[in-house]
Amino acid sequence: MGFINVLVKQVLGDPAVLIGLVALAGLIIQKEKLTKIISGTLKTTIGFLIIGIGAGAVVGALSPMGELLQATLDVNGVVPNNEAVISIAMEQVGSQGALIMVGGFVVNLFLARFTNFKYIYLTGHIMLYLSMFFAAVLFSVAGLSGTMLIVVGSICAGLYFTFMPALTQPFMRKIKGHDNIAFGHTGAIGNVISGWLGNIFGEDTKDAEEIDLPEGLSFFRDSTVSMAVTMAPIYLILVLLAGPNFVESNISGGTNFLVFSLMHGFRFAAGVTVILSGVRMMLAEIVPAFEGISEKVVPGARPALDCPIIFNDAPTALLMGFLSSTVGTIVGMFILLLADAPTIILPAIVPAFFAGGSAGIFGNATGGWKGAVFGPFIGGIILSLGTAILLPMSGMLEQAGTTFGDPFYAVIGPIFTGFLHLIGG
Amino acid sequence: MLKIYAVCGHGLGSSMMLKINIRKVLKEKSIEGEVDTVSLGESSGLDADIFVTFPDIVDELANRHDREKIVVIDDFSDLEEVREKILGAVDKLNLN
Repeated sequence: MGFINVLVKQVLGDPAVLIGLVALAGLIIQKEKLTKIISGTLKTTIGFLIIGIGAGAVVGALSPMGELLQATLDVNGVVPNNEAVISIAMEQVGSQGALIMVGGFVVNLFLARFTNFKYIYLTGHIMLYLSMFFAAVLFSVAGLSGTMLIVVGSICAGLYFTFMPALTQPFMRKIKGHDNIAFGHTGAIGNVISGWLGNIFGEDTKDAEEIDLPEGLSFFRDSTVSMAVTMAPIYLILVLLAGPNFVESNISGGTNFLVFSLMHGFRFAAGVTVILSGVRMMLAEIVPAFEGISEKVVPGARPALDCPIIFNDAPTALLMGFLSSTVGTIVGMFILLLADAPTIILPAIVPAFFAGGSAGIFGNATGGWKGAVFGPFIGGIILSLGTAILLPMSGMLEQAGTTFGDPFYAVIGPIFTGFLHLIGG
Repeated sequence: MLKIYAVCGHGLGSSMMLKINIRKVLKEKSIEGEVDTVSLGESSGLDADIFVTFPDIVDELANRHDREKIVVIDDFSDLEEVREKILGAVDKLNLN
């Protein structure tokens, strides 16, 4: 009895082991060699544990930022970073989220097999983040738990995995010139909005690719570097607003304000880099298994893939979208400040590049260079405002010090959690 | 054994699809090899026989690794392109 109790409660109840078992099943179905089955299973489990270690580092880097914003502006300021916020969610709803990811994939397979929506979502980390979002809000806002939580979460995730790519597909056909590939990212709703807005300018507008832009932003592609060089100045600005003396005597424990700002910016980048490597290790064998299974169950379905699938099609529009989305998030932040909002969303580089950049490509497809600039700009404002509305409704994640950063969470997030608040209490 | 890294900005999304397709190609030809994903930044400390990446980050990658070892894929979902370029790179390795 004692043994079974330990097995069920402590071994299977541990999300890291649970996700390892998912990988184990995937590797066996794929008929991999024994050594690969063992190493793949272990690395999946250890990847999950690495994410938890990164979570601690990120929280440590972010907590003084909360204090600084309270002290200077009396606001709750948060950095939108998907990796950071899901690492915190996973500490509480890791098992439920992992099961929702698998369940969402199964629902996606089922819908793709039996309806005309032949889309299979294969952007693994986005599947993971969305599943953690659903697990966190369904648990802490709607009060669901156990089987009910997993079933409802899987249906929500599966619907998104199947129908969101369908909504972006008319634009994808235009961008790619064929119909074989779909777009699978939480930026998709922002892309669609950008594509619609592009119609204001019309297709006669000069294409972004006919315009030369100076290169040299490619070092932003190194995510560790880009996070460090954006977070350190944000920290520095907050420290200067609070006053270096105040910071050195109340927050940094005597450490020089400049050193304190830089090191906390770097610490954030370090923490997120750890989480990213954990996510990579955790998904290394699960996504190939999903791909292998979907090929057998729904042959010929369009795979919905990550943002870079369109980066080559319009590199200038990508850059325009990235820059104007960044400006949009900064404008959004000032709107929140001027409106005296209780929550301020700070600008973030990762969503600006992936979501803003791909929104630029969608905008360019319908409205040339003007579309590539306008849609992502509006999208950036929406990103700041929508996320500020989502945060107080996000239940257990409200006090995380960080939040989700992508158009899905800023547009669909508040509607979804608002609905849960209505029915849940 | 042959070691290949698929590299993208975060080492999460597009490199994952690329990895899946490279593995398919190696399996077709029964070539023993290990294929993993990595981010651009973390690739700095690693070595491999082949690094596979995309046009938009190839210059950054070439700052970190021998250009000769880098294979550039335009469309990571195009199995045909992956097959041609990866097998070409593997043949070149075998000749040396």
